[in-house]
Amino acid sequence: MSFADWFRVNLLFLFIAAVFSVGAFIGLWKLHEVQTRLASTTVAEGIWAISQGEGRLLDVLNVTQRYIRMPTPENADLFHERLDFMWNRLDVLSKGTIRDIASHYPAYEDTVSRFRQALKLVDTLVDPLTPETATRIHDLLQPFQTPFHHMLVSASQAVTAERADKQRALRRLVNIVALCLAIVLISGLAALLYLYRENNRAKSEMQARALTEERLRIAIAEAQAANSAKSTFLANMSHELRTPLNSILGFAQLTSRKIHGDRIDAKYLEYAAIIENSSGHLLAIINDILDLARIEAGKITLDEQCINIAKCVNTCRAIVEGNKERARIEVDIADETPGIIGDERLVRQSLLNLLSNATKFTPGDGRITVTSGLDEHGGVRLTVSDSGCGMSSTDAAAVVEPFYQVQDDGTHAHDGVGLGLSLAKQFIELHGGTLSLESEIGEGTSVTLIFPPTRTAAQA
Amino acid sequence: MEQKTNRAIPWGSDLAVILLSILFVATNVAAGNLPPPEGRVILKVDGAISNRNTDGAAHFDREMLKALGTTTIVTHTSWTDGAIRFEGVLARSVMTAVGASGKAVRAEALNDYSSVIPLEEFRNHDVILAFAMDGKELTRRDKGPLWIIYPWDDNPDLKSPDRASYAVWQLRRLTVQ
Repeated sequence: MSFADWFRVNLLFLFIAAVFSVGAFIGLWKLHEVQTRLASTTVAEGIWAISQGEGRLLDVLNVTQRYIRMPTPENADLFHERLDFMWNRLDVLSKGTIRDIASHYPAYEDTVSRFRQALKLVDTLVDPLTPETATRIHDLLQPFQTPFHHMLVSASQAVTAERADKQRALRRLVNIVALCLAIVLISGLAALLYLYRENNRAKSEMQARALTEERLRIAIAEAQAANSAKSTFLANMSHELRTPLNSILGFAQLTSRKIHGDRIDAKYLEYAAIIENSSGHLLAIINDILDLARIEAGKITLDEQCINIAKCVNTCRAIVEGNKERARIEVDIADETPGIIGDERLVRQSLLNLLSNATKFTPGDGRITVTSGLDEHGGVRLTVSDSGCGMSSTDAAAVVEPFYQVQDDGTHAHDGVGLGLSLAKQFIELHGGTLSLESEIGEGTSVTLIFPPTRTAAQA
Repeated sequence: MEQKTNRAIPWGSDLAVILLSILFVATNVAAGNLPPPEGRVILKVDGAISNRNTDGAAHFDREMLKALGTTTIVTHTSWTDGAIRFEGVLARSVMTAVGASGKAVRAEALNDYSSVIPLEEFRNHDVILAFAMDGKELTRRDKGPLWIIYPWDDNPDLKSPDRASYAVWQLRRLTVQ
């Protein structure tokens, strides 16, 4: 499968994978954003710091009042501690992230710097601490309660506003994440469905193939059984036909040879000759069928001997040419052509079939040539060529099958049942050789028999 | 004879004194007894601890903490401007010195703020109880006497809200739980 085919087949799957990846990527990215936003607590830190500032201020005011009421050393210590805490808180409010956050609130900078000035002034009043200085300190710090409180309120409002903002943004983000999740889910499901269907398809294809194979196996077995039955039937029938035919042929011959004297009408002699001729032809057909049945049943054994090709060809020519006025058969075989180790009856029969086909399809003024030689491997080659009507390539391929006859729109009358070439082919193949046929309409036909080199005999 | 005896006795009593002192020091170390604080107590450690120097608690003055080894951390914090050089004692050294055996420690500040810190924070990170900032000793006015500081600049993962809440300033007491 080329890449383009693969791509086309898997396009849907690739698309699903792409959607899945994009969905998952955006989802994770946005999820990270949600996480980051949830983690940011800066504004809450700011409000915490400011509320602590207000708390410390109240502490200082309280302990100052307590000292004014009871100026004991313990209360003085407490005052100093809380003043230190106040300084500490102011330090926190004016540095780092808290300052960055809190400075967005109105009047923050101003309040903090004025408060720092006030605390510095307080520091100059604490040594020594007396109820009078304490009263002055209280008066100095008390006015800051309101700005601190305002700061806290505006910080709270900012927190509320920011929280609303944050919630909106979060909701939007969550929606996007949910959408991505849905895309991922859907594409995941689609991919699963696709894989499931592919799997099912492959499974049913496999089942169908297995079924077809099984049917094919059965069909082959049935065909083999039917063929075997046919062969057996043909063999039996031929054998049964041959027996009465022999008596028909025998008595026709006895009649035409006037075995009981010349007292016979010339007309009857003519009839007897026709009977003899037809019976001979019928016997030849029956013999062919018997041979075919025996080959198919695997019951033919080669009666091997050394065959002289030139002799064999000439014998066959004599038989074929003796028949009627047909095209001349030219034999061009050198005397030194090697012989063949094989069954002479079968080789002769093959050659006879080829020659009789050639004469059958070649007009009287045509030419039939038989040549022989060795092929490049040293096997004996025997070719029968004619200048007859020839046949199409379709016919040329099929003509070696049993019972096949070339249909030629009825212009030629041909006898025979279409076994000649098929038998010749099978006979040669029994010898381990090959039969090949070349033909062109109007150009003639050439059939070549090639025997394997192992069957090449020494000079015959 | 007598001279010999006379000579032998002071030598013998010297040996006894040395042996006794070694024994004393050894038991002191083995029991982990902390010396009593001489200066002003800035840190009290109580709870699940095995070494104490007062009834139920281990009290530390600044010198005792310094004696456990000084560690320096240079880092930015959320509550200061710029990089600050903190000096202090490793929190795990203090835990070892008091023989802490709990899972967490409650850190309490002068202003009553408190935070419960898992003890593994002290084991896994070089957390210090800082007593000086840019060479100046911490006072009540600037997050003293002790401030729990993480090496935030060395490890950005430490910049988390819970670590910020562990960074207790004005630390006065640790209760091992």
